[in-house]
Amino acid sequence: MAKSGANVGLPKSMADRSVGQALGDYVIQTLGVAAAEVQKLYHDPLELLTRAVQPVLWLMLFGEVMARVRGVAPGNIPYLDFLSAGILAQSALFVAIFYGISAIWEHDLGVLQRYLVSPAPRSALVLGKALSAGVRALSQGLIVYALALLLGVGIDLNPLNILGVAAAIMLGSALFSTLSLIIACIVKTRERFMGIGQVLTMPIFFASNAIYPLSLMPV
Amino acid sequence: MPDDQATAPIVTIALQAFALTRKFGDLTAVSEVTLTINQGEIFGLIGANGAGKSTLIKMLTTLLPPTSGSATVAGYDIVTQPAEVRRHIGYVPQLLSADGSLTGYENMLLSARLYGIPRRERAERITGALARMGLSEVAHHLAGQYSGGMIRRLEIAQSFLHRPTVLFLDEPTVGLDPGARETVWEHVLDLRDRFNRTMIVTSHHMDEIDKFCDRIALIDRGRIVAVGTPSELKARVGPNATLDDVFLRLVAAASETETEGNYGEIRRERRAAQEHG
Repeated sequence: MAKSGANVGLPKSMADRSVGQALGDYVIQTLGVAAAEVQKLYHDPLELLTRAVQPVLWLMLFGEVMARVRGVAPGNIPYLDFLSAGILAQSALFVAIFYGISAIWEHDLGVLQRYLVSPAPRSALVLGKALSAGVRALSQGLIVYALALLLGVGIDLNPLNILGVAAAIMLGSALFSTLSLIIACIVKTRERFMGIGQVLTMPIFFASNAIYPLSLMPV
Repeated sequence: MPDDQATAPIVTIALQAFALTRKFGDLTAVSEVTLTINQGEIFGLIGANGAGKSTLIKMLTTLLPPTSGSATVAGYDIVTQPAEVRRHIGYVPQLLSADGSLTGYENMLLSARLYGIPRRERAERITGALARMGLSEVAHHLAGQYSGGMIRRLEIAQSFLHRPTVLFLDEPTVGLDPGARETVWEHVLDLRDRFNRTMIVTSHHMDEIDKFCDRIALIDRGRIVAVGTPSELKARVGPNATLDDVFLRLVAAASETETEGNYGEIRRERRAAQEHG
């Protein structure tokens, strides 16, 4: 068994790693982190259900109310159609911005240490987590799409456009989730994070054109 | 040298530390630790809460850079070759490290991917490792439903999947009942015997350290105050001494000036015990 201190424990398949192998490992490590997230969603579908509540409230209740406010509709399309896109973005944003909480949770538990002692480069871990947030946001997007269809919103069902939306969701949530991870690293506790998360989401949401046209904003 | 090592053909060095030191501000958590651990050894680290065991392990597993000094693990330098070190070690942290919202198999799969185990070998290796740990039947149950002992065994299987040269186990039996503790140790011994790997274990249970470790180091306020086989250390204190006596005698003066065993650490420790219990 004992050959030399350095090589013992190294399976043959892992010896002499080329650049190509290293790159392949990197991709597998990144996707592996994201795959774990998909498995978690699969085990706990109730989580998806609870997170569907907010979009339902927005589209079915507040949307109806807001639609009656004079001037809020953008004119050429029904207000609910306008709002649906906004709520899609909002759901993805919220999932991503609060993603850092789960990192703090995993750190407190100790689960994160398993990742940190592995040979996976730090960037692969962060990228994997960003993808994971994207996966969560996509599941959220699916819910909003289903709701919008149910409510008769005029959705463009061109697969290319849907792919474009999915790509935008992935990119947006990857960006906001990494920001969220940075904040998590700085504040370190869930309580502080909640405060900062709310401070961030409120202005981003209300200063966007998610629920009313930007032209209504005071210049 | 323990008896079972006498028959091993070549003894190579698994870990070597030289004057390894870590300071946190004014506090010196680990002070000039010099240590050599051979391949195939089960090496116990004992010491009071806050003596520096966890800080030492964190440095050796590259989670924490040393303030000064150096160490090689599996032949690689912890400061200049951390990625290579990580590739050749396994670490079972004191805290819960298996993900309770994944199944045992999925936890193993994640480890397999992180450690770059080729796709064609994954399923076989995972199934084999779970079987060795007696977890085949619960492989597809969520780890959150496992008992404390089962979670520990899963974590050991995860950390050993890539056959590390050195496996670090930070209080692997904390919060476990005697039966589960025994089982965890049996599996650790089995892995050592089967693969001739080095195990570095911390524990507060002197009885199990005495029973299972080939050699031990006693750490007190960041320094190693004694190294040797359990019987050597016991002989130093007296004819009928137990390891508890050794511990009490050699660290007796330390307990009053405990600096690191603060509220946060106690809270963490209790929580770890609760999660694994």
